[in-house]
Amino acid sequence: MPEETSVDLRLGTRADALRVRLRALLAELLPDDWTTSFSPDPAVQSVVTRVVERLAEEQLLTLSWPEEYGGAGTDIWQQAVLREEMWAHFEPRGPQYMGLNWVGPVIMEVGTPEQKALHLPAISSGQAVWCQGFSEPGAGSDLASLQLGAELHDGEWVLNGQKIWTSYAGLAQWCFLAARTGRGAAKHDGITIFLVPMDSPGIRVVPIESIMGEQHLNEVFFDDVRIGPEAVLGEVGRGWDVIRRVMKHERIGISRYARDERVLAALAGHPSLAEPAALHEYARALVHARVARLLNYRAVALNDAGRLTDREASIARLASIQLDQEVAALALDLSGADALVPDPSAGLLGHVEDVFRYARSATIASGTIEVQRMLVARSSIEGDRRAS
Amino acid sequence: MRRDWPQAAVAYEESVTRAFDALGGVDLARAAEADRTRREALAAPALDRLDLRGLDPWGEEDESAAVMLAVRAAGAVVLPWPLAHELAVPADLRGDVGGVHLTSGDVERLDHADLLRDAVAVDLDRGVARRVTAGAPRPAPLDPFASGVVLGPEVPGVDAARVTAMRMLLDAFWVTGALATAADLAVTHARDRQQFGKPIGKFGEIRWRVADLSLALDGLEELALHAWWLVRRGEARSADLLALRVQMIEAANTVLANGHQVMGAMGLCEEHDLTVIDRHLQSVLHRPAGRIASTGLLARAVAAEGFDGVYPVAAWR
Ligand SMILES: Cc1cc2nc3c(=O)[nH]c(=O)nc-3n(C[C@H](O)[C@H](O)[C@H](O)COP(=O)(O)OP(=O)(O)OC[C@H]3O[C@@H](n4cnc5c(N)ncnc54)[C@H](O)[C@@H]3O)c2cc1C
Repeated sequence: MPEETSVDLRLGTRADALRVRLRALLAELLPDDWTTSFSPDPAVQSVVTRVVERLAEEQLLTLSWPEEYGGAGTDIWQQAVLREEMWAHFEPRGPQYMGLNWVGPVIMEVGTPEQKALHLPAISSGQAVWCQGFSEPGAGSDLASLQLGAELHDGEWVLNGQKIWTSYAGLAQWCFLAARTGRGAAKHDGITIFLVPMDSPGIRVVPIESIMGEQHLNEVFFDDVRIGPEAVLGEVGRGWDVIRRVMKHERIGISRYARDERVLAALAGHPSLAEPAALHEYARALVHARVARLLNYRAVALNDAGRLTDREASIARLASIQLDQEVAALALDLSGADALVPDPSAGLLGHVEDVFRYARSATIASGTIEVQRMLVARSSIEGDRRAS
Repeated sequence: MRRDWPQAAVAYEESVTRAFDALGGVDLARAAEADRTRREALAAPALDRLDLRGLDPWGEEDESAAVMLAVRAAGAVVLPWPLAHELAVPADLRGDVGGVHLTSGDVERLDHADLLRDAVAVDLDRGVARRVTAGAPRPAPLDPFASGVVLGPEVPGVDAARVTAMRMLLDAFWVTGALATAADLAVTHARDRQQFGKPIGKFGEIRWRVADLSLALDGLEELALHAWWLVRRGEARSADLLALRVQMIEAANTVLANGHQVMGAMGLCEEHDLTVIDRHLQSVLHRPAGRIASTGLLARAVAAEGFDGVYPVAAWR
């Protein structure tokens, strides 16, 4: 067939080469029983540090950033491969992915020169851990109803209130915080974003034990926390615009399908697949994994062309999160009751219980499945909205 | 990655769509079902004007893409003509073989068998082609163009794997078209139909159904594009085509069931296109194998061949 075709679904030689390189690097750096970066255990965090430092050294940490901010001038498919391989290997950059994926990029877009100078080098060298302070006890899916208050006293902002579900709050040095500084006609008005040092007096982090394990969920209490005006990101009262930018950068969600494909590949030839009913379910999951990957690739391509709408973004997400739960349940079921207890000597399949526990949150975190369905339906029925 | 269909193929699809819409769209299927002797008169002149039956799905990229999209456009009106059957015959065999049926095990009936001259039935399990002799028409609501058949001796010279792959690919495009029409009907109804003083599309339950059918349809579209590309590159294995078939059937079940639910009682009427599409699609969804049997075929193919992916599954049998 001719060399140059209209349709070519390969990711490209640069992306393929990066995949090979990343796998070699991770094989070298990660312990065999690596399954989580969500742990305060110093042994775990030293692995994260090792991976992050090495990625920074090899110019792979800020792969997706513009070159002027230390990015590597890569194409979108190299970035897709990086997302896939990191997620397939249980995100060994730990909490750093937040800084890289959206904190840094949003600071580039709306930050002051001082904020850029303070934060971007720390993120791009893998030294700063961030957490996202959005959700509150009364503000979940309805984020704009958040109440944590910020009042100006003698040139300083005083923060009072509570955040919840804050991942990595116990490890973070910085919080990307959404607070209420006023009220307007709409509940989206009067929100302001603050970049808050987590060691500020008056901040208290209380871990929440959960099915997923440590560090995933925390409460963060703000009690007369005083910060200077330099902590405001963007305009006072226009924080919703900043949040929309965050959401835009998070539109191409995490590549859950990549870990699912890795788990499915590890199950190939498993003795339980001798049972035809099991093999049927396994085969269906393979189809769903391929479909989820292709729908995610479509979103990446459309995003690059400036044509991504809520419809395709949320369809990709719906496919991924449902796949995650399907594969997790299947893997645990095929592995039998002994797999309810982790077995560090059994490689990936020794940790299907971890995969299963984590997958419970797939349809809740970063916008619930119900909200994703709403977005798809609204976009289909009432017309598409392009990402702003 | 480049994932946009060639412009020429897209333009051709539009002309095919216009041609069938001008002839009445889904009414063609209704008319053919009312009098099956009219299938030729209803569909063939338009197909010939479009030069569609002469196109080669194994041809150059533009031509091959045009075939896929044209079959999708024909599927969009469930055209009462065995187009995928005809187009799955390789160019060098078209003089001797009029169409390809797929079977899995013994069959007593096949769709449009009375219309296709010198058709063969390729058995998925045994990989052999046999001559089809049509018997009496045996129409039924879910199998409007069925005829009794007798399968004769093996026909040599048919590359069973090749034609099987092409027929499965064409079927997926056909079904994609039909489901896109069904999805459009549901989405439009969700926007227009008012109950309790507002459009039903404002209700969460209806939005849920619209989201699920959109996801199913888009997933099938992407997988069909991917499978076509694999076939063109000579990289498609039987597991890839069977995966497409499984997704096709699951997507159809999701789109049709949710589509009916969104439409309410109106969608069940013969006057409504959704019912005609639903009934006329069942043949391709069940031949050569329905959901469970197709999944079984896929499962065996995966064990024997593996399955490609970011983390490829290795074969183990
Ligand atoms: C693992 C994990 C990590 C997280 N990390 C962070 C973090 O770092 N920072 C942060 O700020 N937040 C974080 N979150 C919080 C997350 O963003 C919220 O859980 C999410 O937005 C949903 O809010 P909620 O849990 O309060 O559920 P609710 O919004 O109370 O929803 C409860 C149920 O009602 C449904 N529902 C709500 N509104 C509607 C509607 N309009 N129509 C139909 N159904 C509706 C929901 O879909 C859900 O099923 C995390 C959550 C998880 C699970």
